[in-house]
Amino acid sequence: MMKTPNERLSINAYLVFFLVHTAQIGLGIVGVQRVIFVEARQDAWIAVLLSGLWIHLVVFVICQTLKLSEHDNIFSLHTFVYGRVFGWIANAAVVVYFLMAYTSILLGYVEMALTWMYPDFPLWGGALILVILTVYALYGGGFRLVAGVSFLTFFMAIWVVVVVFQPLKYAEWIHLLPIFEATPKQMMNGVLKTSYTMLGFEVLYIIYPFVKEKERVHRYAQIGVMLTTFLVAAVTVIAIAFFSPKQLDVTIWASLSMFTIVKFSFIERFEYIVIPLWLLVILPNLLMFMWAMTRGGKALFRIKQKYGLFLFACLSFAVAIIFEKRATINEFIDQVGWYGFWLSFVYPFFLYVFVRMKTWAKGSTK
Amino acid sequence: MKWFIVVMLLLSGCVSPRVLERQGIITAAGFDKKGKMYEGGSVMLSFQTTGSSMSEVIEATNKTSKGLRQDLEAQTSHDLGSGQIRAVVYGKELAEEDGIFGLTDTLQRDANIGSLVYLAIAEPSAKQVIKSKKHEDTPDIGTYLYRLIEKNLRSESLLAATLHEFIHSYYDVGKDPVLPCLSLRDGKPIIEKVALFRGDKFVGTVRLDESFYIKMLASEYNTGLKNITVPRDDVAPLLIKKKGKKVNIVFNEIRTKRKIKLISQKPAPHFRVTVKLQTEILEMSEKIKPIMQANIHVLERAIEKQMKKEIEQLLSKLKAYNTDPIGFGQIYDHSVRRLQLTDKQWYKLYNNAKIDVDVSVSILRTGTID
Repeated sequence: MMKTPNERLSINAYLVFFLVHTAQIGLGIVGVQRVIFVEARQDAWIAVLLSGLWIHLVVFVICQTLKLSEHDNIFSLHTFVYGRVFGWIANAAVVVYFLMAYTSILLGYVEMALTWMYPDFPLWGGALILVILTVYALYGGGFRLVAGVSFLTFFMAIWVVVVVFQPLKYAEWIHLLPIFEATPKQMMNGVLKTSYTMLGFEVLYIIYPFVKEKERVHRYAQIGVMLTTFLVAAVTVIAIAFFSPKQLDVTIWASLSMFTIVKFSFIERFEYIVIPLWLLVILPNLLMFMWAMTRGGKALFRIKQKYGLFLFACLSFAVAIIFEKRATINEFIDQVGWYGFWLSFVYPFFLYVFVRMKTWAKGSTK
Repeated sequence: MKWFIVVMLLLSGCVSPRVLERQGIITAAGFDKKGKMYEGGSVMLSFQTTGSSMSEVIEATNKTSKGLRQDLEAQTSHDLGSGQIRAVVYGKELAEEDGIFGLTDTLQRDANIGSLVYLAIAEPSAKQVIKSKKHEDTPDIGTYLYRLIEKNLRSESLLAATLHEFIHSYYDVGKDPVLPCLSLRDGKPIIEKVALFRGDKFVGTVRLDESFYIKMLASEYNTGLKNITVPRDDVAPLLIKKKGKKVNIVFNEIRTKRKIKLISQKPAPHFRVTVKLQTEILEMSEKIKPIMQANIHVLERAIEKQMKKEIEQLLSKLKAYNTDPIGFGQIYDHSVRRLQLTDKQWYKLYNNAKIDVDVSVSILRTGTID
């Protein structure tokens, strides 16, 4: 079992809001509209809301699970529930998930930046820069830096929301009609496809021990999730109104394409501001997932997080440079979404039941 | 870690630098059809070290638009950049026979080019418009075309000319794009007509005064000027003289609200269009009695009657061209549940669609005199 970190390393509960929210918002929101729209058509935004509701429930369950026993993070919970060997395997699965999530963000962002801004820059170069940035930040800062970065980048990037309203000039609201046309199956698929964008709240399993006021974690996590759901639903509604259906079907980064309409007298092509700015949005993602990996490394191999950092950084870079084409990157991102869906949307319920049973069994043998 | 930051800063200069004097900035491009090939021309603006700028038209012929681009590169010592492209002009023949979607698609795909580029159709050919030397006080023809279209979009009867809007309407089922149609008068490009499309193919033109109604029905219309000719009998109570045939009325500061509703689907789609228009009178071709609360409605009803007639004429003209720039099909598609309308189905329905028009005009002011 891991020790609970000391006072110096822990953070205030309100930071959970920023951590959860920034871990959720990342690359997905740039292109989520098409993915859901393909499934649920003009009801895509309802799928987002449903998915949001589901997450509220999951967050509640996660917090309940963590309160049940003295094990307050996912790695020690796994060993507690499944025993040494199976627990190790379960932990490895979690670490692999974080590795995949990290790499998919890395690839997705680099690919986007290259398409829009630097077509002649190699993919591996972009990936390397981001990996080095992650290592640099975490090596010096650790968890408190992750929290600080998500706090700061939240405020540095949230103003973009205001600009999203400019494309409304070209919106045709009739595209949203008729409402509730999607069949339950289409809606379900829509909810599934939203999952990649909404992932990130599972970091609660890992940051929980680092929060000072445990009883307030739940509240702030819920607020964070609520803001994410609202933002994703808003950009979805705007995109549906802005693009015609068939156009949205082929637009990869719908949010970015909407920004090509934004024009100020001092800057004509606003998307060139947004793309570099987006590095700030994905930075907390990268740091969070990398840090989570190092925590996992500690649980798996009992190596210091410092060394784990280098190990996992090399590993994710190696995975990243395998990819070259957008098609394969997309497929990979889909895989991550699928994996993440089971791990974060479904598994917490089972884990709760297992932990419940285990504590009950343990209590009765005493 | 200090060296690390230094290296980062140094590396940031590594992505290919662009020196202004070495850039040839494309401000406008034109495409025509020549046999099976495209013939294209670009207006290149370059800056001299002395601070002045010059524009030049370069031309090439190739099978694809990006191939054209390569051929163009071979003709200049500058690096061509398309990030500042303002207007793209397509020849009428090209638009009529091949359609222009393929060419607009490359524009959209190219991340260098913004979505607010203006598109236009040129009569008789794009080449002539691009090569025109008359561009008022603007530095080059691209900027001239941009300003010309922008002004007319903002204040006059022109509608929807950006790349985004073209592609949007092209993809939208039950709505067809429209673009400004440029023609030359004494060698100077002007906007005289509006080009109608079916899908991405040019099918015909309407005059600007007709496109006023398209703009009014397709979106909310604000500001602008409209000239309308009403029969003498309709406004007889107001007139002082009893002779003559028609009366011209010009009104200004127009604000409209429109509503299009699908009333019934069967046997054929039946729409009701209601337009509310507020305006002020600017000019009348004849002397009239002072306009009062009591007799203003005579004028209003006369305008309503004439407008209704003109809208109906326009609608039957659009039907004859089999094009739907107003988007009745879109309204149909989104009003009916469980319907995946295709363009083909819609054109069939559109031909038989019944459209009732209902206009109500209210004159708010009559200028500085009654």
